[in-house]
Amino acid sequence: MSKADKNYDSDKSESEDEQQNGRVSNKGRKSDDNEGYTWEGEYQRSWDIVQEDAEGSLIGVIAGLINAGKRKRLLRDTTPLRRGIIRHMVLVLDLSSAMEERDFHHKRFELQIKYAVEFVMEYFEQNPISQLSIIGVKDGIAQRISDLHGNPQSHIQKLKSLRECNGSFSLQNALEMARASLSHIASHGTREVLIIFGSIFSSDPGDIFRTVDALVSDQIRVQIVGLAAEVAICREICDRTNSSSTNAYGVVLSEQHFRELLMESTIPPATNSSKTADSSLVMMGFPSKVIEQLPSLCTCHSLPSRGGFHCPRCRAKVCTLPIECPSCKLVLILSTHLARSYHHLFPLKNWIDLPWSAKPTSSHCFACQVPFPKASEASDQDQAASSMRFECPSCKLHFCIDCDIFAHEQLHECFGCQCSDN
Amino acid sequence: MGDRVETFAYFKKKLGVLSVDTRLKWIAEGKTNPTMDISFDAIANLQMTPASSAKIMVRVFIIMNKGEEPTPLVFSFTGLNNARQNCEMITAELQKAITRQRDNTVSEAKSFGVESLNEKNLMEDIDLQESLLTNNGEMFHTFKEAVMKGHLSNEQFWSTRLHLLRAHAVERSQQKGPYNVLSSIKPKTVDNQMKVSLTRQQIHDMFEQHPQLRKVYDKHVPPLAEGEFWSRFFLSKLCKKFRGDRITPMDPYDDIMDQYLDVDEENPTRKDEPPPSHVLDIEGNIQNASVLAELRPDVTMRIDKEAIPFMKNINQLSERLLEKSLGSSKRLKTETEHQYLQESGFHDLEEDPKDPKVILNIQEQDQFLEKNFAPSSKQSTEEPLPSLEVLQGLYQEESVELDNTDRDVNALAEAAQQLTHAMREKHEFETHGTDMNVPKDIREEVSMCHTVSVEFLHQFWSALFSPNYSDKKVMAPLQQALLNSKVRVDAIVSQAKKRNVDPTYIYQLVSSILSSIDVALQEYQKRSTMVSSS
Repeated sequence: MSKADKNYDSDKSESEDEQQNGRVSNKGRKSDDNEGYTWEGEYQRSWDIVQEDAEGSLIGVIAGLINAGKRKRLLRDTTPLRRGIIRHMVLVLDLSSAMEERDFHHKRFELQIKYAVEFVMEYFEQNPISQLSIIGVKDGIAQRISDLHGNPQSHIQKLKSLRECNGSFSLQNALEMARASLSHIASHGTREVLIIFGSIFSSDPGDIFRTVDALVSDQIRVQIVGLAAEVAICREICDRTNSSSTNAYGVVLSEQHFRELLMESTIPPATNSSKTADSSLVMMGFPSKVIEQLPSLCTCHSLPSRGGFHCPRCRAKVCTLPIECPSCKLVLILSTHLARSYHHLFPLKNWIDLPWSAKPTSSHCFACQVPFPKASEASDQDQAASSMRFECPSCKLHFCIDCDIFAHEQLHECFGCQCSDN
Repeated sequence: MGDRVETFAYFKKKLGVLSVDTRLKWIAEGKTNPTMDISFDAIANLQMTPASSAKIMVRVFIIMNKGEEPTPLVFSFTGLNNARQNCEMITAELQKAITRQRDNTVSEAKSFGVESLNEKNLMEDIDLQESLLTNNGEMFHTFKEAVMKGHLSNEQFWSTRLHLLRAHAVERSQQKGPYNVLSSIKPKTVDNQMKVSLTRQQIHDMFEQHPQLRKVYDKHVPPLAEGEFWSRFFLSKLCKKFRGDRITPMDPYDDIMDQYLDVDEENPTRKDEPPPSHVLDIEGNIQNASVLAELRPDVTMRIDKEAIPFMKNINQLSERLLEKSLGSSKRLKTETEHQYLQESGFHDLEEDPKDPKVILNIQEQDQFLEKNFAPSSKQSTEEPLPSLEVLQGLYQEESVELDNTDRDVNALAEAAQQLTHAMREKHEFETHGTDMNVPKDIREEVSMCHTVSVEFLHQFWSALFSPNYSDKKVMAPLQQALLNSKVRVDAIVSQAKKRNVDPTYIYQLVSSILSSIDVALQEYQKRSTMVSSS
């Protein structure tokens, strides 16, 4: 739970505080101006926050809210950690009757499929040399929806063809099947399971703790996203299979939170220091593109095509990358695939939000030339408030909030550092 | 089923009583102890004389000692009252008992978990392999061509597909968890009539969860029809009792079912039940240190006297369900002192365990990348490129007007052609979408040959990278298979020629696989010469 800022100045109104900090201030006592009890202060009432300005329009308020939302973007820990880049994940979908509930405006099932499609796309974008397999649990039995491979389109097609839900969920059957799918993975790849758990019980044919023991010995990490309430067995599974510092079990609070929890799993997990002993070299091939005049059969599908990539070891022709060569089992990738994983290992440092007290002299954002707000001459300007300028610690240039979000979430590079001579 | 069945029968010319209960017994007349006492799993076979014969006998084959041939025991009914009916009754009972026994042992023997699915088991399990092949059409085709025609052995085919076998085995051997069947059956009212649909599995589960129901069924079904029994049961107070609902005076009265309302379920005491853990042992703790013995318990802990039978009923049902699924679990052991301390200790005050992450020791990223671009010693001995000023000096003119310069039309035309060619190639680079322009059967032949060749290449390369790459016995057949693929391609081409299909088209289609085969054979040659020369 986030720590609430303690603010002992009871003269400030509640809504102003929320706009500034994005969180609710915690008043220590029952104050004079009809505030009520302390616990009442924890509820944000939307009709208090939104206030019309002089002409009766809400534009300014809305803009303020949006800005506050932007700045709430998670400031991630940017220590470079050793991570598992070659990932093998099994996504377990809940197709039990609990998913027929309509508590997200639509059925939980529809939302699950929608976010699962987005998850698949994001997962392959962030981890291009990884593989994914999908399992669904219906009627107490786990069914394989798609096998372990690296082609996002085929996963999405299978996801969209799912229709009905009934029966109960079985954690043990799902985990056993995931274990069987991941049993042949080499030790340099990660083994992960992500479960979407919509019901509050699990109907298993045997002792689930045995399965958990087996998961721990196979070094499989399990993450669970719960849709209903926190269930003790899920907590136990997640705590035992992950390192103690990661919070692998999350229960959703809203649709947006559901999406956030799912997308958290697209970040490659940090490796345990106990595994460093067996670092090995992995052989990979970088194939060359070939264009042919007449079509020839490809080795992966036995379908004719006019172009492809030749495996450097056995000269077999494959259609798409990344792929494992069907004849000599060499992992074939392009260098851009590896480069796309770099930003996880070397994350871009967070930029500093400059307050007015730092007396900044810049007038426009270095990247997009949008003008910054000017320092007003009035002395009542709060020195601690943000001047909407964000400074990169290496190149010391100033950027605006939109460039900050773009650089950290999409580009993973600092504009200033790329341009400068360093 | 269940109840004892007894008749008179002759065994070894002596009269006695033959009974089928939990075991097969024959007691000679006048004696108290059974002469023959056989358990059902020792019975290998059962034979009965046909209705047409004069003699009425039953022959039971039993296995006296393990590994021996079964010995026959003959029970004769000739000359006794109701001989034929008795004989048939005994035979029917024995059959039922034997099948029941066999089902129980088979379901226990089904292994759970991936431990038993090691390589050896998977390779030997022909049943599993067949089932996987029937599920996967493509694999079946490849299997047919490669293994059934003798080019590849069964072991080789499956050695690269073990993970698929394992996943399929786990998928097949899944079971559903036990659940309260009776409460899930809800009679529907259709046209003023109540209808209930019951599957055999549901009936079986209900009998397991409510043993008393089984007894009632066995007693009353031969007189009553099965349908009538179930319809009376679902309307009766007995059903409500099993479900845990309250019985009101408004419920219909049923003379058969209501007899059993007051019969208490027998409590099966498990012999090796471990003592409960110290934390959960209510009785023990109350005896040990009962503070609130005099005071009335809090409102949430008070017992509703009327609810006790329902709670007992549901609790017993839950116990049965759990026992069925967890019966052999090793966790039902007596708890150790260590476990007790773990459960009852305060863990909040312990320190957080150390974070086991590995921090990468990276200095400034830019410097890191820069270091990699340091020129090697070889590069630095070459002359550096001329500087920009020198190059600019080469062009004396201030500006160049392209329209007025001398041009070599041919060179320009050639350059333009190369450019458009490159652009077209780039534009037309597509990895899918073309189709083979040949008649259907030729197309299938080509596809099949291609798929099988891919399989052979796969086997070849995995054998080459395995420890026995120098073993001629393993490599020679694979090499032969690859050469055979080439021969097969030629055969298809000649077949195609007869059908007026352009042979070069076929060759082009398989060109990539042919070059792969050549590369593979070359590699093998290289390695075998290396081995022989070393």
